[in-house]
Amino acid sequence: MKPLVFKCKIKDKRRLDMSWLSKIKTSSLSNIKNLRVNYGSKEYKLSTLFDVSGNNFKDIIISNSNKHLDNIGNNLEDKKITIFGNVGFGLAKGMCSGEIILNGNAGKNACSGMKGGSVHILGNADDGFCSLPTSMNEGLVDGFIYVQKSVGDDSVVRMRRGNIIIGGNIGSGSCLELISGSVVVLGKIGNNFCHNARRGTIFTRDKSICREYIKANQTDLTFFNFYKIKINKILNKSIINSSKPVRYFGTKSGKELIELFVI
Amino acid sequence: MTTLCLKNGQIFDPINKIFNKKKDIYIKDGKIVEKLNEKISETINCKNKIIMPGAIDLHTHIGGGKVNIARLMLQEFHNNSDRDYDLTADFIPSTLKTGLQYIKMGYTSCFEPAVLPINARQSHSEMADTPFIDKGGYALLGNDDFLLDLISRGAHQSEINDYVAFILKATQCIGIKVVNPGGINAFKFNQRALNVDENSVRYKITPRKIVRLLARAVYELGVPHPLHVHCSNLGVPGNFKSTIETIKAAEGLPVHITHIQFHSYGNNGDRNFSSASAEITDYINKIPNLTCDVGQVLFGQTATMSGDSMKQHANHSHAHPDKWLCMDIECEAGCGVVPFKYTDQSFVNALQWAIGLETFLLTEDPDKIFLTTDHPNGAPFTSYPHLIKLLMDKSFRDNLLDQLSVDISKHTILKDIKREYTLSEIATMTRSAPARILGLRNKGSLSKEADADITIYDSNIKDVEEMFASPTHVIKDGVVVVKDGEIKNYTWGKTQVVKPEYDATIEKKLKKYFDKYHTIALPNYSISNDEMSEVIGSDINEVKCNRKRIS
Amino acid sequence: MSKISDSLNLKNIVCPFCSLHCDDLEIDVHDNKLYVKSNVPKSCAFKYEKLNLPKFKDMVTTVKGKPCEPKKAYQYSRQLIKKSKETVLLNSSSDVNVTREVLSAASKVNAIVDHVNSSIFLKNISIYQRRGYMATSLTEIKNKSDVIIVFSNNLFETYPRLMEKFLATKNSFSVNSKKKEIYVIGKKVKNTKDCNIRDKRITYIDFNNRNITKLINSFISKKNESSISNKIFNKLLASIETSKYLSVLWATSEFDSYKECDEIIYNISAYVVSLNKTSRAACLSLSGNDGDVSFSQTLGWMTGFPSRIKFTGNFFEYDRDANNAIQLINSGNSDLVIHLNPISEKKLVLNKKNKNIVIGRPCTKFNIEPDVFISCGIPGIDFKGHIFRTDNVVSLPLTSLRMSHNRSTQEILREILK
Ligand SMILES: [Zn+2]
Repeated sequence: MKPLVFKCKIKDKRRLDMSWLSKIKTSSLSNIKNLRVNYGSKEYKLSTLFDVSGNNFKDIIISNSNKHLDNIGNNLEDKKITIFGNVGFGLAKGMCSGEIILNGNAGKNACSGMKGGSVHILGNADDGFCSLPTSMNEGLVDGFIYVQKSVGDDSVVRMRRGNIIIGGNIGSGSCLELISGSVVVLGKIGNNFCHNARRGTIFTRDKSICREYIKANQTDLTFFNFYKIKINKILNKSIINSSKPVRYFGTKSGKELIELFVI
Repeated sequence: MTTLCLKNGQIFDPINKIFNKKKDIYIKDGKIVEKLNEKISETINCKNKIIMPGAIDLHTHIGGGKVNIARLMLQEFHNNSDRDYDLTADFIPSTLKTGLQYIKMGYTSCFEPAVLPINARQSHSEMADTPFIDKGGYALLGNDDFLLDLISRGAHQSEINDYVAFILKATQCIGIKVVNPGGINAFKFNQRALNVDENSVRYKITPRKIVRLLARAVYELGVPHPLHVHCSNLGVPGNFKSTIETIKAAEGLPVHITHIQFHSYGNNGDRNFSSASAEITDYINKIPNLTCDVGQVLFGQTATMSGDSMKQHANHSHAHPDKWLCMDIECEAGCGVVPFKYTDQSFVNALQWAIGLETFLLTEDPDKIFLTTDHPNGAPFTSYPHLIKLLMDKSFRDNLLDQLSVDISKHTILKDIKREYTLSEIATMTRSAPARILGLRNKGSLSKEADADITIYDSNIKDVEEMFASPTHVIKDGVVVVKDGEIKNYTWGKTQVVKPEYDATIEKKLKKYFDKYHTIALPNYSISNDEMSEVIGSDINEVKCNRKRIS
Repeated sequence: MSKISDSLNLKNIVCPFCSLHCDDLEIDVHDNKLYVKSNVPKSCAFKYEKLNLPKFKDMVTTVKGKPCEPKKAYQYSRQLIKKSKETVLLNSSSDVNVTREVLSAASKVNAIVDHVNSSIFLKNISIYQRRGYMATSLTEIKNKSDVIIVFSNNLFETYPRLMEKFLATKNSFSVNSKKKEIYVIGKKVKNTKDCNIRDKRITYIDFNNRNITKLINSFISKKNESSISNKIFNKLLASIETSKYLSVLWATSEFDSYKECDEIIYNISAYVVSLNKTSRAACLSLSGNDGDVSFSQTLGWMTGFPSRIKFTGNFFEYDRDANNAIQLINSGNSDLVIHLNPISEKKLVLNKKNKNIVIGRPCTKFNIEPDVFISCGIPGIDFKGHIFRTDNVVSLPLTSLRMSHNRSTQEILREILK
């Protein structure tokens, strides 16, 4: 079995909704090539937009993606998608299970409303990363997300569960109304972080936000050590290397039950 | 115009007391005729088919501000994967999908029960964009400051009659509905409950008085549809007493009690929540002028929407997902939209399900009770075929009862009820009875000159749910619009209205009130017949009123 | 429709030009010209009277800036549409019936439909998509509200008659109107100048509305952490606490340029909701003047979504990013934009990255020359229609006041999509 490889042939700047990718069921290559896909105001045969080869429809590769390809991995179930190049809006929107590896940058609202699975973005993610999906009042429901570089403003809204590891910075207005889950930020944290958050765990090196939090007297590191090992193992590198984090719990205004580790 | 013959079908025509008789039906120019002398353009072989008049839903929220708020609030449910046309959720379908799904189930007339007079233009526009079906609305009164002020100053009945008649004309509606009489208004003055005999703080009027005056107004004006009443204390344990008191408030005049399931709760038992369907149906069976629809609850996600902002605000903590909206509207009424998920793990929801079914089964006369889920408050209208099966099949019903996650067997008498509805009874409660109570003489009937709104079912299908879900043909105004589940023709129904006469001096009084207090002018409040057809986009059909007087 | 020679006196005319849609206008029609008789601000009357110039009545069609026969403009439009690979239909002011036709047009050519103000009204809708919301409407405010808070940067310029006709009213049905307390919070100099009403019921408070969240938090904690003086703050807080029916008004569009916009509107709304535990309070978020409400409501009932729809074959999809017209146009993703501005041209911006067809009111001004311009009649002046008021629940009839040679937007759309 060879991975199903899509090579994009499109030259102009129209956006292409890639939702069909998650729905591919057949393993016959000719059926896939004959799929009807809406592009702009017209309908095309898939083979006029992409060169397709391979036969493993559970292992998909997009070899030359660009920022006009939207909704890749939308509602994905049980597939692996590897992407080379940038992607447009809504990567992994509402994804349920499976794996996405993006070797490039993600456009707005990536991973919004994700319910499960894992996403590795080996680049930046634009504004609205892990934001609320249309009209919903919960953002990330569950899943594992690693972003190697930075994410934009208004990211991670009303996160319910899951793990997010951000190698770079996080923009302003992020982690709004955090409900639960863990967020690791290795770079700088933007303004107005964790506004109205309820619970959740933050790992950060940015000491500037500590001012608002209350230092915990006893440093219980069981969870920290467990988490550190788990994350480092999943990513197969030493992301969290501190052995003596400073633990904070709750804010001085007394509202939030956030646990904060400065690493 | 085409002519049509339905040959060799089994007819169910309750108005003419015809049940399961073989008869041919002829149609010409959209009407049923006795026979055809000219050439017949199409004959449908109806051997082994059941023929009924098109079904009528007299209480379904299909158009208006609150429905639209729910559509926009709950977009995350617009993701139906097997879609006919669009993605909208079954419990908040778009106007087009509403029409498509109703017609495919053989429903040919539907009535929006909560038209706020100020919002009537929107309601009618939405219904005008709903294809196939005939429609109509009930105008909401009984919480508007103008009327309450009139009553509190001891206005004569005739003045109230004039106002009611004016509202019917201005809003192009077919009936009057009162929701939580006086309660929505009282909520604006920070009252959180209002019992049938409790005075509102602002106007010192009881709900009883409002119901009595409006029921009489509707009766005296000769509006065929009796006052449509959403009682006080919706959803409150023990509210069956308010329901009975509200019925009494009409003092023997005809009233229609809507979604009575939500108003048939006792407060017995260790959970202080019990079924009072026996008490309520006893009453329904006894009183001649009383009709009701059930508002059956079925399990699943839906959105509750009501003019009853007082009770919707009180219930907002039960919202699922956790979001809601309440609104005070133009000194007329209010609205509340609260998404809700009925689950069979909840004792209350499971008992609500049973109470609805008990009410159906204990009401003896199918002419007095109508099949509704108060779409979408109890469940979406697309679940009607399932509900019909529950009524027609005791073992199916008992099985479902046994399978509920929470055991309610000690709290319901459902298992002891042997009754199974017959096809004839279903035909009555979904066709002839609603037509009669709405004064639609040409609907719900297969008599000659009736509108040719006809549904044909396949009697070879043994499962009644499947049979009612998929009629083989649906004919609207003499045109075959559905054949084997496919849409064959698009048609646009009419809006059914009443226009009782009234003394125009009420308009002078209203003009004064509008000029001083309202924010729009009286002429712009009213919708003219021309506006209905030219701007809103629906032709009207006037249903006759026969003025009566109580001595 | 009246004959040209007729002299008419028309009362209770609904004004289509701002989303308060005042309907107390008295208009004389002489010789097919409109004269506003009622006592309304000059800026309101001028919107009518400037239409008396003949150029506002003649149908004008141009192709690449050159006047031509309508036939030619239609034909050229059809060519552009046929050639287009991605068409956007962008509303920048219209009523219900125009919006209905826009949807039907979009379904014929598989276009994207959006409104210029969609990013703002999507924010308003998102309040009740996320949490609870207590709303109210203008007549309710006029008659029941004893305390009114208006957050305004330039609300009284956008809605010239808001104060006079709805807030500081002479009569109220259920409260003593003389005892109403109205707080206008925002740029004091601007508000007092625009509003031009001196009334002891009104308190103008100078405040940077960017900090509304701080003010709301001060209300909650009852400790003044805002820039407002303690004296005024305490008066304001006392008014809120003793109010029987508090109304809070704002326009989200005024906050749209702030980063804190979402936070501000959620915080106001949450505060108002919390007051309802013991007392009554409600919000009114004023919409834009560009037919936003009519557009989002109509799309709502026809599709379930308020904007950003794309038709594909028999179906349509909603995508808040991929169908965001403004973003698509700015990044050159679409090749043809059909602009619809029958009522106002205020929000009309053409981009040279794509072809532009404008179906707009006569004498529409452009930043760049469109490929095709077809002038259309104005709903409420030349054609009948139906439009929603800013409070989302009241809709009003638009009438035809005069004879015009222009065709309706609906007719033109049908013509170019033949
Ligand atoms: Zn109802």
